[in-house]
Amino acid sequence: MSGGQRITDDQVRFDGRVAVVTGAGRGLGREFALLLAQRGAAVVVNDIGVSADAARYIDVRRDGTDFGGDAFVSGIAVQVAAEIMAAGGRAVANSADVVGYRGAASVVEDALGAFGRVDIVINNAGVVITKPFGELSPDDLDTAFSVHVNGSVGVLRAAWPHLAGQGYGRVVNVCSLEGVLIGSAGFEVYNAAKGGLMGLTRSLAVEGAEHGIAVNGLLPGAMTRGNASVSPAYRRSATVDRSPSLVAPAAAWLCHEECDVSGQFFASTAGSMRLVFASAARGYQSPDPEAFTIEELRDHWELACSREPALIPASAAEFNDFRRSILNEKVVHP
Amino acid sequence: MSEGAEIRFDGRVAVVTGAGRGLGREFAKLLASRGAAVVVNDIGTPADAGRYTDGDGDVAYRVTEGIAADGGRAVSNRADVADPAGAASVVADAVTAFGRVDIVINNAGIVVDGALADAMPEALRAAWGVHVGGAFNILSAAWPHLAAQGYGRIVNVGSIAGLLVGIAGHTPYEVAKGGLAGLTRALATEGGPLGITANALLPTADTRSAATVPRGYDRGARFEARHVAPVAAWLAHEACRVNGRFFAAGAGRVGEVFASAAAGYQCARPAEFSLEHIRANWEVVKSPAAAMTPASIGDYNAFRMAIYQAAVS
Repeated sequence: MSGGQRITDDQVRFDGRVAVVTGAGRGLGREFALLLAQRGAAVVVNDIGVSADAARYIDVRRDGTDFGGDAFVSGIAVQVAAEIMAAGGRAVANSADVVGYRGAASVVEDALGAFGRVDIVINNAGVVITKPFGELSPDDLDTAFSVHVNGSVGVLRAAWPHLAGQGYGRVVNVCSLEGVLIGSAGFEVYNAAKGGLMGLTRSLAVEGAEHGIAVNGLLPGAMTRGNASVSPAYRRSATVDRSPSLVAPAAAWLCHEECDVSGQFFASTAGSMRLVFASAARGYQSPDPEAFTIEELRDHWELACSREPALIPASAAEFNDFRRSILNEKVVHP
Repeated sequence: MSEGAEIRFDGRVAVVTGAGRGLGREFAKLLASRGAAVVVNDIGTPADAGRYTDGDGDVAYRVTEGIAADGGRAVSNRADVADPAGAASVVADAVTAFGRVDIVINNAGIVVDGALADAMPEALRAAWGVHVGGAFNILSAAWPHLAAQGYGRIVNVGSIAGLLVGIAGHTPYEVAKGGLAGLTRALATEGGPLGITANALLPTADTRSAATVPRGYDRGARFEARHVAPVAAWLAHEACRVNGRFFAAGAGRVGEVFASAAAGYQCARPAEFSLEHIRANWEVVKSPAAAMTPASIGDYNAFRMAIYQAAVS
């Protein structure tokens, strides 16, 4: 767990690869872009440059502003691209809003136009909206869905033909512990959006397999603007350095050709990286499904809730085999 | 089969969305047969979203007729839960007809197939709007009632798709069901102190909707909606105390689907954490070993910090 294998001298490199990173003007996305560029990737740094608490973003959206192209330039994406180039790397800035499919497509078009290809997509753009459930509105849900889910789908729809065409791609969707592993009060629309990204990740991992496209989810823990205002569990720790730069290696690794997993989720914070995964427990099987009742379930509830034995299925077919084998056991319960 | 007392819902009021056919109808009928008063909501559309607004609006009413014929209490509602006003009318009907609301089963859904290339913005938004938006809208309307009485039972009908496994070719559906899973986790944490539980049911049943889903496997057994109804009803009962949990159900089997975090890798000198550390320790990083299943972010933080302190100090 700690210490681990001695690291070798040869660097993990991305020479010749082209990456697009959304929401890369600040925080986590910026660190992802900087690290990929430092290791040789050419990077499209996308950021619309809005406030993390979404208030300003929502106001502008409600005015009906079209975010295609350069309607809302703030310059932060340009600053990150300039920083990369000053260090000898290759980058271009893109300030489109990924919520619009036209804006999302422009991110991929910029990769093709500037660097001739696209290999890596990191969907990092997001908004944090947290309020007591009773105060959350349908507009809040729509905003969270639009940025996290629709924005990611828009970028991926534009990139996918290129990834599939070249038989290679690496996609990282920035999800969250929230919605994937646990839930917190007030996070209903945020968790719904991140749960949507979880579903997208699992679905596209299966679809991408035959094309050499790996799709994974990252669950980052870092002190950024995005979580500065939320629940106490996410506030700054006095003792642990939770800088976004300490998460960047995890994101970059999931973009590397040596990364041999897909459809998986990894939490990373403070120099750690660990698998977050879903299991299906055996549970309770009625010996006579035709006669299954609420009372029967109540009487066997402890077994129904037991988490052992359990399966971590790699596919729907594996889960189905597991379920069918249980059904065929014909166990008679007391 | 059971020697215990019959499970009853006398005095409880339930709303069940998408209850005109399939799973929702079985949920409504079972709750009503055990004493609950039920609002049977269904817009009456075909299961595929292509003809979303062109359906049989009377399916909800026919279910209430059946319930009434058996001596139960029910009213029908044919509003679209994807519309906040429509969803509010479902809860309003419960309060008007029966004076309260205790149980919400968010079952309404549409199956939107399509690979990524076919997942047009409209399809994605349509699926999200019903599965997630519908549940959000109904619960927004019901929440003040549940919170005020200090009691509520929420059952969200999710899917193993997107939560446990991936299935290619119906991306909008998996996105929507993943979203519903995320919503359920947050609602459970917020509802717990208020006496409100929120759990999810992940059913397998050969309904109209399932017939259109590319499953990629043979089920090899009969999976009927009525085999799943006892699970939904139990999760809606006051004696069922679990919260924030996900239960796969089909053919008389009930098993939890749960998310865990593995111990993984912690760099002993976090400030030096690099790509090369991950490559060198990749087998540990991707191993599910020494995992825990947290009930809250606090649980997870304690787990994470224990590993950090053991590695770093």
